[in-house]
Amino acid sequence: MRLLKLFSARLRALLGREAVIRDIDEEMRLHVELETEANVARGMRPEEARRAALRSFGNFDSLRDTAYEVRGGGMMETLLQDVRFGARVLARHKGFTAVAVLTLALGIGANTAIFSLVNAVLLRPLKYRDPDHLVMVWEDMTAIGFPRDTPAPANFADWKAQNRSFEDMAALGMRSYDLTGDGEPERLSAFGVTANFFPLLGVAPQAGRTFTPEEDAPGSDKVAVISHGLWQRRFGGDPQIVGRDVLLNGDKHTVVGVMPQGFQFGWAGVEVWTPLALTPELAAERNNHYLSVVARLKPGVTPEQADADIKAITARISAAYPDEARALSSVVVPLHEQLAGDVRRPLTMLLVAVGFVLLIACANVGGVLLTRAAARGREIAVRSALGASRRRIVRQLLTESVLLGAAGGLLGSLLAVWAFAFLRRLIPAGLREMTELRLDAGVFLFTLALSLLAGVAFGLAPALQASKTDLNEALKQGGRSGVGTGQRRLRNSLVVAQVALSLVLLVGAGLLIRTLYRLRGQYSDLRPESVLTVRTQLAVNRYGEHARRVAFYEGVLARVKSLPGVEAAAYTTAVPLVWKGGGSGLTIEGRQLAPGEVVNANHRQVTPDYFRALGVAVKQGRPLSEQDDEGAPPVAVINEAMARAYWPGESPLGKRFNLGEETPWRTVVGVVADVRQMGADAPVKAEMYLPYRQAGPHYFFAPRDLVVRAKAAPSDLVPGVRRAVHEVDPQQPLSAVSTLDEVLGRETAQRQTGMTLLTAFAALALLLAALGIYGVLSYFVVQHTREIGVRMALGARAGDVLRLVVVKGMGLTLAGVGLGLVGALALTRLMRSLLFEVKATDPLTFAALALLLTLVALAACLIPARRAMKIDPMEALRHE
Amino acid sequence: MKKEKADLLQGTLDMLILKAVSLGPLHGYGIIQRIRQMSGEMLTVEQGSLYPALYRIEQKGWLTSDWDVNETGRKAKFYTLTKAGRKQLGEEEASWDRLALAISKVRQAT
Repeated sequence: MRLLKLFSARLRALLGREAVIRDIDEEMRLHVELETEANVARGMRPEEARRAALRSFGNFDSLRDTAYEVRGGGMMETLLQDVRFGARVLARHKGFTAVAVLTLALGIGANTAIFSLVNAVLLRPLKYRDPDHLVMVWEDMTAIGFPRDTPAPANFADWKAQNRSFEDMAALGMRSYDLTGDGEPERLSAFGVTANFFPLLGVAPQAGRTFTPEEDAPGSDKVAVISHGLWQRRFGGDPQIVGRDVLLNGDKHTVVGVMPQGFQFGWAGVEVWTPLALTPELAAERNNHYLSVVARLKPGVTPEQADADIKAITARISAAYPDEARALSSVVVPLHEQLAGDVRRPLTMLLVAVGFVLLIACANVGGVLLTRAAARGREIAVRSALGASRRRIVRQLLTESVLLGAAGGLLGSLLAVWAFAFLRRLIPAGLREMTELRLDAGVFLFTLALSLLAGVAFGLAPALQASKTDLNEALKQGGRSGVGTGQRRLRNSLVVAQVALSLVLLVGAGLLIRTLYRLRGQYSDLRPESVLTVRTQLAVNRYGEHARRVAFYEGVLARVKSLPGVEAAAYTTAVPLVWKGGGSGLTIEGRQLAPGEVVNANHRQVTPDYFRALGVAVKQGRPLSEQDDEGAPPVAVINEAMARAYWPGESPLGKRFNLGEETPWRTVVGVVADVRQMGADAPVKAEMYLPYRQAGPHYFFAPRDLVVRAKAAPSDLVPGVRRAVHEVDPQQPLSAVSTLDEVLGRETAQRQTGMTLLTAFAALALLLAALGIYGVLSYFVVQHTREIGVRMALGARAGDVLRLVVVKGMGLTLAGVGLGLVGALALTRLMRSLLFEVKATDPLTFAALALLLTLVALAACLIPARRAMKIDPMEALRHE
Repeated sequence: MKKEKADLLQGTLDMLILKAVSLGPLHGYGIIQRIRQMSGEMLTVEQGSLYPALYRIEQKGWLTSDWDVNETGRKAKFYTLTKAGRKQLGEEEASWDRLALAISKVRQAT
């Protein structure tokens, strides 16, 4: 309060109130003097003359105030008065203020948090030079289920040479390195990049340099750029890092540069960049698709024009190489859309949801304010009798609500900051490093605007209502009740609106919960909670030979299987959901391909026990066995999706296919159940499982993921598994240690977070709506105490009174439920892409949540109803 | 004996003030005197209306004010008509004339 006084004194001095008032007083004084003289001249005595002059002036103070206000000085003054008075009123009603501020804080805080997210992910530019000009270029292999597939090197080379749209094009390929030397061996995610990659993004290294074109060639490519994080973590921020040699996959690489903190490009926590340095043979490959391509548009070229340009080139490629580039197309995607595209929908949904929460909060506080305004009817009447204009009263009441809004906003911002850690999970991994959640100017302005808007939104109606109070009536009634029909109707519609909005949120949350349940349910056969997965990626320079790899797998598996608590253990190329790709084209014996038809299946090399370890049922034929080795006839087990796709209506058992002309025919010996390996909500792709011993020397699909089924908690096995691996090869790092449950959790994390938030919002909305109903009915009971008393005196039973109140409450609730169902039908469409095997109009969800809401509302009705039943008729009548 | 007085019509006060000042700078008291004098003692502007109106007109830029010394040597605030004020006065007088003409026509029609 002292601070406020000080502030107002400052402001007054600043506005020169004293000077203005002095000026006015001086002018008036002269007027009175002249008038007095004139009166004396007319024959009055001096005393009398002066009194008459003053009298003719009327209320001097009021005139001065009016004059001051007209001269524009009053604005700030009145505002400060209102603020001071409002703060006093709010401080006096602590309970009301606390509840209102908390309600608003929840609403505004939720909005601020979600807006920060939208701001960080969708609005703030990426930290590259001219990020709007950056695009990704993909091969479009929709024919085999990959609308955005990683391009083959030769196709990239053709695009780069023939396009007219790009200033430059860079390619990068996922890599990983074992970092050895001092300390634990460590597996690092890396990118092999063309030399123009960093200049194209326009990001300079923090220390040293990036790659020269000469280094982007086999033989001179043993150089590396490392991330800020790796530099700090592994090398203790060594200032001499540039020029230092490190061992990557056992080869000496010279560190030439360190990227600045927060630099990321791509999808995972990449910490090392090396030159792509493709050999001429690799660069000429057209059927190995593993690059990512980023390009910078020429000024004035739109992504659409670039897309058409590249599509034309790709069509020529497809025509020229019918075998390697069958059914090939391409697609250009703006970088920002690439990174943020998946979250646009869920964020929009959440933004709508928090908007609803705020509306409900406003309706709630508005309802309470209406009640209070009625209670304050007398105060307001007195003030207007004393000469306060209607505008002045509305302004005073509005100031109070804006104060409430501002307090709510302040507290809400704190809540938002607190929620950031949780919200980060909604940002897709590749974007997370490049964005930061914080309260920047944009968010601050948003919250400020929201607080003020909220204050006006819930304050305006009550203020206008209150200022309309009939003076005589209010003063006569002593401020007891006196509520007009208009006001009652307004309160009722506020409650109906709250119920309706809550139902929309509840239905949204319900649909997401059901979706998540469906998604998780697909993997329940695997019992993912008891499966441990560990990656031991074998470095090509140490495990290039097939025999060495076989020895490694057998050594590790034998040791792991002998650990207590292990039910089964196996190796596979990739655990489901971890690598959503890795297909090979194949030829089916005796089958001619129609034009544009492509035969492709996920390529997994597994050890015999794989199906038992993962929990995949064998549907036909047999699983793989130890006898399917190098000397035995080549065999394969396929999934049901592959059987359906390539042998529809017939048994695939005994049928043969190969992976290209130079490879032997393989016989299908078994069919296993489908596992949604490409994504929990993506269709199952054809998948083949080859015995790892028969896969030949090719390294690319060699098993790397260890799958262990535990009898009890899988995490207890981690130390034993680590020991087993290091007994076989002390240099071999382990990475991606997690349970299958956790893998599944990451797959659904975004939806899970969305669902959790939406459920929280819906629960909050439900609570507020229940409070709203409770408030209206309590007020209703208080207002009708006399009527109820009379009824009881005339013989109404408790049940009749109960019915009176409950019918009133249920009437409002059902109106809200009806409106809410319509609203939900219209709005859940927004969520359709987030749902899985649940319709946006799922009748069960709609019905169940409408029922839930009605029951909660009923409970909220019962408390005031019980109070009404306990009214003592005598007491009620005397009270009046 | 009390003289007969005319009530001020809504919206005419500004015109009267502008007219009074158009003949030369005046202070507040002087404006009241001049209006009374010009109206043949029929119109008296209350102080309570005059000053708020003066400040409002000044805010609109039709008048400017300055402290000066009056005929008896006392400090007084003098109001002067601005160019915009003169234009405004012209418009208000014209519209007043139209109104007066219209009303008298209506009255003669009966």
